[in-house]
Amino acid sequence: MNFDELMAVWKSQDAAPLHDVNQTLLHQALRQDEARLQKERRTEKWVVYLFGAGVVAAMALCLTQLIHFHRLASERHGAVTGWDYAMGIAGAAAALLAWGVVYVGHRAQARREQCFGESLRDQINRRITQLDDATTGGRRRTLLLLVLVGAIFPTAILYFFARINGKTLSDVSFLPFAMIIWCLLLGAWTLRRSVQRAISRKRRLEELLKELDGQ
Amino acid sequence: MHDTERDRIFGEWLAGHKGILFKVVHAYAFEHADRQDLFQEITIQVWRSVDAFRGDSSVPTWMYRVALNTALAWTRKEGRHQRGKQSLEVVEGLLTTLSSEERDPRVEWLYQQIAQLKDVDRSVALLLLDGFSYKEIAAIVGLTESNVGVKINRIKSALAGKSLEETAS
Repeated sequence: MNFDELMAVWKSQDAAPLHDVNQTLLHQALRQDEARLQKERRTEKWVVYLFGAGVVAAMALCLTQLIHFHRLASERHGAVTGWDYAMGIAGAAAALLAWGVVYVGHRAQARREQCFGESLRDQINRRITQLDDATTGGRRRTLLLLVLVGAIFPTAILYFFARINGKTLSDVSFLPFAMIIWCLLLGAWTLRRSVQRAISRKRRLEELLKELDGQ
Repeated sequence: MHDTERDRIFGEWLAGHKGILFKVVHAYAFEHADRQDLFQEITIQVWRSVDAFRGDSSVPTWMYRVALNTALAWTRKEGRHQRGKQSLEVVEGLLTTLSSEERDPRVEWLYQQIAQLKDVDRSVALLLLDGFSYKEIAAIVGLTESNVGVKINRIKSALAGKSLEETAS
């Protein structure tokens, strides 16, 4: 068969397709997907809202502790020091900055919504850029979030609990610090795994790009 | 866009050009379950893409573009087949396939040859066989026309060679 004959054979399936589609089930699948998508969006929205509420509460807690300690300042507690103010402000700022990081991440995710209408090459390049962002900017954002929420904020709270009880941070039992360190390590391990996955996916896309260029 | 309007447009597209989706599914997935999964994924992406369609290209070109992008992404999903996991809850029986006796063996033979091509070349072969011009193929795949020409020559000689071998044997 020459190529024109092959094309004629190929086109013959337009008259008698190899498959057919069950319209009722298709409609069901589309509704199912739409419901899943809506649920994901609702959950995402609630996570951002709840995180926002948590941030406000955390800031309020830090500042209340600072004011409370200021009132309690006595011989037992010692005078309010620059460290007390610094820890109160650092804790509140960490909570606020964490909210900013989550908000920026959420916006970046929204921008990554899949869109069509461009060539296959554009789609691959866009995906590679997204994965690049996930392994660089995204990683930096997550690390910052880990440090802010996992270390600075709980340390500030621990500091105030200790000061209110007339102790110093060094008097606090090892357990809360061990928990902070464990959370940080777990977060770092999860981040490392997600970066590794992104890198391996990026390699596969780069291979596809090479294939596209006929290399 | 309102959901009913989207449903109406999608219904028209599907009624007129579902053959495109069948061809892409048949060229990229080889097992019954995989075909169900890929078909569902493609139809969902086409359905979602209705909002983004601005009429800059024809509907068949648009559908091919979405279907091929989805199929290529589907074949590259990490460990998908090894893990036996699927991203969607697959609706069984969505896609029905003709029994082997009802199928034209020449069409089946063509699919077998296409399956042996690299992923990207498979896309070019489908578009070529469906009569898309070099310019249209270049725009869909994102290559220069000359590059598409090189690929097409390679695909044509591969198919013609196999056809000759088949005739000789």
